Amino acid sequence: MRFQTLSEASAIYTAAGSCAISRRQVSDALVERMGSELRELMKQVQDFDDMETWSKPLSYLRRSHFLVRATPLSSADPALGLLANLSLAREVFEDCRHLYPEAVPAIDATCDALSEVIFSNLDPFSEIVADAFDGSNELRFGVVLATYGLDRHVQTHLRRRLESGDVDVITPRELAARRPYDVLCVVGSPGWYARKGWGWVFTAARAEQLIVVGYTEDANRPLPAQNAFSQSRTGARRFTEEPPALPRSQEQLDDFQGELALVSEELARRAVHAHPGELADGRLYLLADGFAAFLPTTDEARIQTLEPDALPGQRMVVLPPSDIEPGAFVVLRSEGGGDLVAVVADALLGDRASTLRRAQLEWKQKLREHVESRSVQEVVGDLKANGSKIANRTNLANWCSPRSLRTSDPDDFRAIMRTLGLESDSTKYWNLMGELDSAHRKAGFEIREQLEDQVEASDLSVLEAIGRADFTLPQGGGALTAFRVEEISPDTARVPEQQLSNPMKVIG
Amino acid sequence: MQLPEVWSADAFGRRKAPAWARALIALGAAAAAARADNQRLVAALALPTRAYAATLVALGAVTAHAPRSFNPARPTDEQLEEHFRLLCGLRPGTTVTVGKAKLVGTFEGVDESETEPMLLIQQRRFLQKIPKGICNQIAVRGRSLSALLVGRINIFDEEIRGKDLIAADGGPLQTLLKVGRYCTRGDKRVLSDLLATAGDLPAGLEAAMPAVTVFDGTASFRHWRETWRQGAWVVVLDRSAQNFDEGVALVESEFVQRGAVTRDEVQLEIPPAAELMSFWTAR
Repeated sequence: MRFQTLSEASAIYTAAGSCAISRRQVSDALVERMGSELRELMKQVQDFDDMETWSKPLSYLRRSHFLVRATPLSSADPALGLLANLSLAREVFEDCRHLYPEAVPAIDATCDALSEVIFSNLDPFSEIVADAFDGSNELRFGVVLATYGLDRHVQTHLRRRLESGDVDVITPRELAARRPYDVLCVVGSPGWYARKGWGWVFTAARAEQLIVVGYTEDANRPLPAQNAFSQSRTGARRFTEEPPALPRSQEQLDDFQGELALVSEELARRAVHAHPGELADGRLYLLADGFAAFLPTTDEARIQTLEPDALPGQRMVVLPPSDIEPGAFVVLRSEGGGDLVAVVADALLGDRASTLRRAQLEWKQKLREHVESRSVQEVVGDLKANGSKIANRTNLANWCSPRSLRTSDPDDFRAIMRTLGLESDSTKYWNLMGELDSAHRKAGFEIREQLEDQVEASDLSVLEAIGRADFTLPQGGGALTAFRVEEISPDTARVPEQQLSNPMKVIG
Repeated sequence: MQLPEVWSADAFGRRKAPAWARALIALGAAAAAARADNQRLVAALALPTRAYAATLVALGAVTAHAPRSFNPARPTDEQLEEHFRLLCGLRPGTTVTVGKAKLVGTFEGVDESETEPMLLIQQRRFLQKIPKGICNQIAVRGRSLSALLVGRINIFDEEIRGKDLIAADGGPLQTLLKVGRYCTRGDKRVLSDLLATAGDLPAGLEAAMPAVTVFDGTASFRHWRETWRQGAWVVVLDRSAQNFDEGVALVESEFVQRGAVTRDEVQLEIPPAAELMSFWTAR
């Protein structure tokens, strides 16, 4: 959120109060065929009741189908990644072919349909945008996309195609921060935007002329309801809608929600490939300025966040991951990677750190080996038999993680030691881990103090404007960056433990 | 009621504020003027942008509702009524003093089981019941405010102390709003104040009693709505904010839980391109 002047606000009120919405639609037999083959395949898959096997390959096809319908790029453009998706889908469909031979014709038909779409080099949306642009001389002209990470590429493509630098391609989040346009082409189904919380693109439009551009079944989807409240009155009209030209399709492939999950899966795959090691659950957070990071998912984890607006001394707030929402600022280590608290704690402990870390590693290693040699269920049973009151699958996973130092209750810790045959060393380990725990607390406090000082001395308007600000901790913390959270994946992924909370540049 | 004139100022000179801005001032004034026994008004706005909305609503509220001077020795009927309403809206546990001896007690609530509502004051050894007719004996420590703005302080700061939107005399909006945070020691008249969405309640606002609380955005409403249930609410929601839907859901939840209320809807002015939901709710 940034300060807007009265004249900027007035321009927004004017656009929102007088917006006229029209639709420009195209149809293409190949894209329609791909849609119907995909629908047919999904119908069959529903009967198998085995989404574990099918969800991954289907998601590659659904994402491809979505990207074709949502992006003004040639279907053969490598930036869309359709060929890669097709090849990944074919690879993972192998299991399905063996398990469900009756679905092979539908799998082949769908993959063939996608292949045809790719090689036919379709680019109808660019034509429509070019037409609209031709009639908009001297007007501010923009194109809004619902896709992730393709806006810069599409902008280059359209500027080249239109032989003009006067067209902006933006996401709704960027649109919110800009002054209104004269004409906006919104690509794809209005429903995609509404489901992402971007229904305002239509209900509080940032242009006096808004053109919905899409394939027939997308462009004809209903616009979001004008009224947000159940019992309300409205001021002067907000938008006028040109009615859909064709009857609305009964059924639509709703594949937008899966896009972020696929991005998450792909980044997790890359992280596992680049950093082999212990895996942990992580959730993908898309961050400002083209960054992303997997953050831990357990509620015991704590993430350093920055509240630019809070009073001095109260700006650094530590939150469990579940309390972090889009728009919040997370502070991550941008140099050195890994858990910042652990690094600062080690610096505070000096030579003592190696002894304590060794002890931590010893009992964690033993516990992990024990779980691998038996089963989670058996180990949970043993822990309970040995006196733990809260042993369960989730807590055991947490105790195995390097992020937990010891249990809250000494009885649970004793039960772990007893289960591992370390009962005689139980007190020793408990005390050593207590020492480490205390160093972690001190480190957390130190980081907050140092960060507060840094934040006080910084110009936070940069943070508001670009969603990112860098800080350097003078006493051993290294470089940190505060990032605005843009989106959060609904799904979790297995990623290398050391990659949790590590920001990665994913766009640009 | 004469609403204040505000002007936009830029490189090209001064212009009268646009219609949407004037409508928000009028809405704030109407919300502050709307009164009902044991009921308070909730107005929620869905706007195309949050810019200036909360500040303008607060400006209307301070115009319509100046904090009253109350002479406990000889109150008029109207003042007694107003004071009783204020006391009814206190948070249970608020420290009060009773009588000339200024016995310190805590406000516990309102007993509706008697023939008339009685204020319950917990004294050191007993629970005291006080009817409206002698409620002038009760004094509260808190500062009476016309409006409390809850949101992002850095943004309010630019709107209230900047030179983009100004009062008729050319001064910043602070000259009209008299925000406590920006007042100096010499300023005796504080009409409004600011509260940051994040962080703790500052000591200076612990006992504040705003006639209208203006929540700028979902997060401020989510964090602070339980603290400010004594006065009217205006909730400003920006349609382009990420958490707009959550804000709407919170308002709807207040509507569902509003209790049995009998008041008619207040005719509030609706700015162009805006949507307004308003209802009375039990205090």
